[in-house]
Amino acid sequence: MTHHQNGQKGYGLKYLMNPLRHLSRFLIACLMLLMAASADSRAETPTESHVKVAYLYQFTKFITWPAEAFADERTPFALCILGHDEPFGALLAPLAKKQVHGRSILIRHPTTPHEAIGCHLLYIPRSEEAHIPETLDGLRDKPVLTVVDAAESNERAWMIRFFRVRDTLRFAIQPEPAQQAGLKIHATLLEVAHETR
Amino acid sequence: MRLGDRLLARFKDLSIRRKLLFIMTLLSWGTLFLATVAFTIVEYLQEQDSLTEHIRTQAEIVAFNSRAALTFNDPDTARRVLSALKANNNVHSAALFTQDGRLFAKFTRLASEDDRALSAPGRPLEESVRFDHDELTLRQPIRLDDELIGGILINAHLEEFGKQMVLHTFVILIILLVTFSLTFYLALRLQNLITVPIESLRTAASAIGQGDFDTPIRIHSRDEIGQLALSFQRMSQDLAHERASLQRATRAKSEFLANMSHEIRTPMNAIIGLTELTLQHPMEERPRSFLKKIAGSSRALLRILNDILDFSKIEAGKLDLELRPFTLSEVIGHMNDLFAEQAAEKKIQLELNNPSAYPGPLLGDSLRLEQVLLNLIGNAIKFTDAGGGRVTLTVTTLQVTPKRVELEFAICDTGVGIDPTLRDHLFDAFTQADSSTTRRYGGSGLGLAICKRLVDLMQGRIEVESQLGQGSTFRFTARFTPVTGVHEQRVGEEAHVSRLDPREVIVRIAGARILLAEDNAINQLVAVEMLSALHLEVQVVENGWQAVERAKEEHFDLVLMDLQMPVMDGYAATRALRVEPGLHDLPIVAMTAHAMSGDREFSLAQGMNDHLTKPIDKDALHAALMRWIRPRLGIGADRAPVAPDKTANAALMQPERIPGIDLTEVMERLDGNQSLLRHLLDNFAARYATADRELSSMLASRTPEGVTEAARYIHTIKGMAGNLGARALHGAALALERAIQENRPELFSAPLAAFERIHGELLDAIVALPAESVVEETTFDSGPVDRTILLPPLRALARAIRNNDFEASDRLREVEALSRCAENAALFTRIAQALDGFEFERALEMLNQIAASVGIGDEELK
Repeated sequence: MTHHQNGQKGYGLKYLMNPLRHLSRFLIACLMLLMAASADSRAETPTESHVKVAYLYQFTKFITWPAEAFADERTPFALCILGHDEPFGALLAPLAKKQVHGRSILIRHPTTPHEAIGCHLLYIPRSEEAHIPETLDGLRDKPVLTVVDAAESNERAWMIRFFRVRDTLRFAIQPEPAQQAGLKIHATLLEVAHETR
Repeated sequence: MRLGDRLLARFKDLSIRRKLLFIMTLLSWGTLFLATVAFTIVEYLQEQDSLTEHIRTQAEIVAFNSRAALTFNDPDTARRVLSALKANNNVHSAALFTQDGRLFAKFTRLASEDDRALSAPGRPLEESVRFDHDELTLRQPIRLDDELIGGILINAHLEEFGKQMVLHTFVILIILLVTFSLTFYLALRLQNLITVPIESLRTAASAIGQGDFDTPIRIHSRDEIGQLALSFQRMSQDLAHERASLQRATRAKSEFLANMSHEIRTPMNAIIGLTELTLQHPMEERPRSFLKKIAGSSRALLRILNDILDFSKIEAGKLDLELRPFTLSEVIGHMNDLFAEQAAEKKIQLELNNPSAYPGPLLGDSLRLEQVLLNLIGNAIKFTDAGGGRVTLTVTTLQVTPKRVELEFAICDTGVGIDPTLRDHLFDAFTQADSSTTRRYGGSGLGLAICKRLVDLMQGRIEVESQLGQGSTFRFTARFTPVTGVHEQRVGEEAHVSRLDPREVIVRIAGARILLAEDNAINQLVAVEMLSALHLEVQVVENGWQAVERAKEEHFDLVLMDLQMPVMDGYAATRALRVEPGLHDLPIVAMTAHAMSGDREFSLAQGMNDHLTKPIDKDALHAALMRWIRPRLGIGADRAPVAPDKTANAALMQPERIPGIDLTEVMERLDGNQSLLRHLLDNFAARYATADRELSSMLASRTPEGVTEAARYIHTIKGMAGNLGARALHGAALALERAIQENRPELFSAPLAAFERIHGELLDAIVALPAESVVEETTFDSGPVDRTILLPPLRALARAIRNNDFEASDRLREVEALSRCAENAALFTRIAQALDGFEFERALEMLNQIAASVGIGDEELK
């Protein structure tokens, strides 16, 4: 935990100036994060955020995007968090160093559905729950993996939805919208998902 | 090590056949076994590999499928994924671990295996494969895009694998077993390729070792063995060739000896015969004494010639022992008679111990036994210095069985002894203890060699112990056959040539017509003179052809037939005469200078009645004439008083005819004693009732012992048959004996069958004889000789001895022939010996003893 805090604080110029030190710290932080992700969640808010960030990243490993989703080979993978509100804060920073399907990760914060076009993964946090319908409509059939954090399951065409069972973060998957959007979800991810409907 | 040496030694003793089999089997089995083991190991490893690969693949699938579950922390899904392993029966448990090594999910087929699954060795996130007995533990890390997200553990039973391996091993064992049997069988067959030629080589070698050079070696290969066989065959051919030439040489030597003997005997015949004939003419004292010395020397020369001939005969294997009944005490007594005087003269103590070591009658060649004893005792006396010495003969019975008596004779003297270095060669021919011996003691040097060979013939051993200056002991053993029953002995004695008074001969046969077939003029002269002296009418022809022609024209009472004649020899002439009507029973007596081989049997087999050896011995000639010339009316006006008795006796004979027996012949021999004949026949029938079966069983044995025994047995039967006048049986026995002597078992059957048939017929005839009605006790000895008969010849003998006359020997024989008193027989021998040794004084003394025994005083002899 202490390291994790340090990692958070050290993000910025200092990190860039002392890469080795920060790299190790970052790695430890990642490890902790992953541990948290795989361990039984204790439903502590920061931990749940960790888990969510980790899950968002991990989802990409079980999903294949169509080629036309990317302009060219160097097009980065756009991971978008909808809204002005930043639920994860510095937790997203480590992702910038990671890759998805060989592409570097670009984190964007679109505020409108229109802005979200070009994203490859769009997370719609609880705070933006109200904008889910219009956003999903706007992105219909676009190769954008839509992950929502919604309290209620609605009939909307989200692809993945976070929810809580007691203290544990779970997710559900609707494969049809993903399929229509040209995304291929790996069967094992479907297996892990709860209530795919 | 020791065991290994022993096994190696035993292996070396195995036959090549077994060795080859062993090596081939060992090699093929060893190779097979190693190959199988290697194959099994490789198979095992491959099986293990493939099992591992299989499990690894499953681990990878499960790992792949559980990535999401691990990533998204979903143990339920992970368990579901793990449970896919249920399909693989080998897998009994599996587990997933998180990236920090905690157990995430597990799968166990049985609840009890929980702990084992968890406590499997190895670090959870590292790749490892462990085989532990029947357990495979496989661990693999699980990665998601190069990121370590956990590990998987699979525990698999190897039971299935083990079963697989057992099945596999079982199949291999069966294959191995089949292959082993197959290779063994093949080795067994293949080794024949090598061992069969070797075996046939060995057979051929042992055949050659036994003297059979004609056995072909059936090896046609061109390998080493084939070449060996080839050179072996060449070698054996060379050997056969060598042997043949050696045999030729030996035959030539024997032939030469026979010829030499013949050539020497012919002039000897002339010398002795003519000397004796000349001596019958009146002449002056001086030439008479010279002639007598010639006669004496010729006899001495003849004795040496006989010695040499004896030796050659033995060397050529042509000396056969005769089988005659005798008793040991007779032989020893004879020795005493011969040597007592001589020993006394040299003041040597002569002891003959234990003369009746075996008291019963024995069957054997007593003359040859006496010859050996004569030699050894003679030597002992000869080599013991006069005065105070001692010579002992000790007889010991070594072995007595119903079929054999083995005796040991030891002749011990206190003489000069024998140098140890010479002892080994003592029994070699032409050896004397010392070359100076010849100078001092004389002798041909053949005596001991002859002794040794005679003892060998009597199945004995001879040996000597000696210390120089201390004396020598000669020891020899001999084997004889015990005789049960007394009468055979009588027959044996009967067959012995007894000396006859020439006057009696004249009385019996005077006037008979004799045909003499002889090509040699001197021999003709000698024979004619001898025969004329007996008042016989002699016609002379020069060859067999003339003899046959003459015999057809005129009547003869007897033919004296030389065997070797130009135009037609004696055998051919005899055969020709035998087929002439009326001449088949004409007595024919062979005369030959051939003393080498067993010609006598051959002559008899050719149809001759008798056989005389040149130089013609007067007594033997007389005996033959007496035996074969049938007294006929008108010949010999004055008959011997015994003759009518015999005729009368013969007339009493019942039955007239016994099938298989020549009664005329046998009654002649038995002095017409019918009762004795009957007794002998019964005895023969009793003793030889099973002779045919015994013979065939002896021959059937095919062992050298059996054949030797059969030879001896048939020889005895042959002698008995001859004595009994059983001509047919004699002939059959002779034929069988020949076959046995040739030692060709394949030739046995025909003569054996003939013998069995004739033997059976004769036995039937004897059994069929009517019970003896008249038991007439007859004495066979002629009883005390009339003093008046003996007086004139004794007187003449005494005079001859006093004159140191050579004629004395002849006179002595006349006297001896007339005197049938058995007690004096030994004395006669000693007198003859004394005369031979020119010891006239002693001879005269002994003569006086004889005269005294028939009531003639010393004065009357002067």
